[in-house]
Amino acid sequence: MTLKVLSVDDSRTIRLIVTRALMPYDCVVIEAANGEEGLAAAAREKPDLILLDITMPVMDGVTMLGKLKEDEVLKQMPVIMLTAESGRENVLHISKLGISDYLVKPFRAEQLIEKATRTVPLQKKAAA
Amino acid sequence: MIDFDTELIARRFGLEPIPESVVRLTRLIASQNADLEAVAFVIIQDPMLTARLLRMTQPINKSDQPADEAAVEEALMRAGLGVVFLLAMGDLLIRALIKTFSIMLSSQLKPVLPREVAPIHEEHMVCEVNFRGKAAGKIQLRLTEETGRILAARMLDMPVESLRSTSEKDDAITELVNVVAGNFLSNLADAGLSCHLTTPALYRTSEFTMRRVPRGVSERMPFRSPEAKLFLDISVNPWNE
Repeated sequence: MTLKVLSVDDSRTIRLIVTRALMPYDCVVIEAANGEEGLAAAAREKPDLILLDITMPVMDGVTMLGKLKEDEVLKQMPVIMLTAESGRENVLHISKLGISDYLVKPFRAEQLIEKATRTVPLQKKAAA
Repeated sequence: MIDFDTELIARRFGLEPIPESVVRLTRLIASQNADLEAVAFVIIQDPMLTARLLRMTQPINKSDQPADEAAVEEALMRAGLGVVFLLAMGDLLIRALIKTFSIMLSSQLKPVLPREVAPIHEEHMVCEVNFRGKAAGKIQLRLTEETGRILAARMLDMPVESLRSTSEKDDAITELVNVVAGNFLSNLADAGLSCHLTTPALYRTSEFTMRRVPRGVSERMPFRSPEAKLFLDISVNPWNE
């Protein structure tokens, strides 16, 4: 089954790194550049997994996460927070909002895959 | 205050601890009535902190000599408490930079002595982040356009020749600094020096002089990796004025 992964990050570079890391896997990556675009994409595409940055313009990741959790349908979607800000108090605060996992930037592609695989049944693409 | 729950969650998400010497140093600074001897004792235990302090406070030829506690105390007396803030914050920044290069670029970046790296004479890239909280200041990463191209291509996992657009390069370098700054912010928070950061601003200049914050203390730290040389500047006003 082809999974849908929504990557919400204001950095084009990070979205590209995420897309490349997931390329060998049976999934499509949908991109959004801020929380507002991310919410719209989540409602429209119903992704199997959301990779969510925290610090973004227009709407930050914590606000988007809060709005996801207020919605009866969207609140079921697993979210992995992906951020450079890993201060212990910050992580504690965010973990209480209901996330599946937390990935600290900088990260290696293997770390992203490991956390994603732990959260959703991500499979390698079948050889052509 | 870090409680048991926070530590459990930090371990679950694989967060790294701050080095003991820096934690002790920041605690001493935070206590407001830091004893000079106590500060000197912590610094002398850490060769990197000692070397940086002496480089900042002594003439070039003298700063290479082996240090004892008296030399560290004398340097602290001459430079004042502001330099201790700079030492602690600089250490946390260096760790954030080296870690980011190692993980995002698979590149082993090493701090080098200022005399080992030639200054940048041409127009170059500067990515700047300001911070405010327990202290106020700014950090700047300086690198040549060519180094910027090499690092951006490495981040995006593509050959340097394929990286043609300036905006792609600028976005990658800005994100690199964003990640370094985010890690720096986390290190500061964990060490009890919570601050807020501005988003990174990238610009180009031919001016190689360090930009200092008013009434601040500053340090320029050169780094080398097999593929790059760059400069990391930090300027701190410990009194947050």
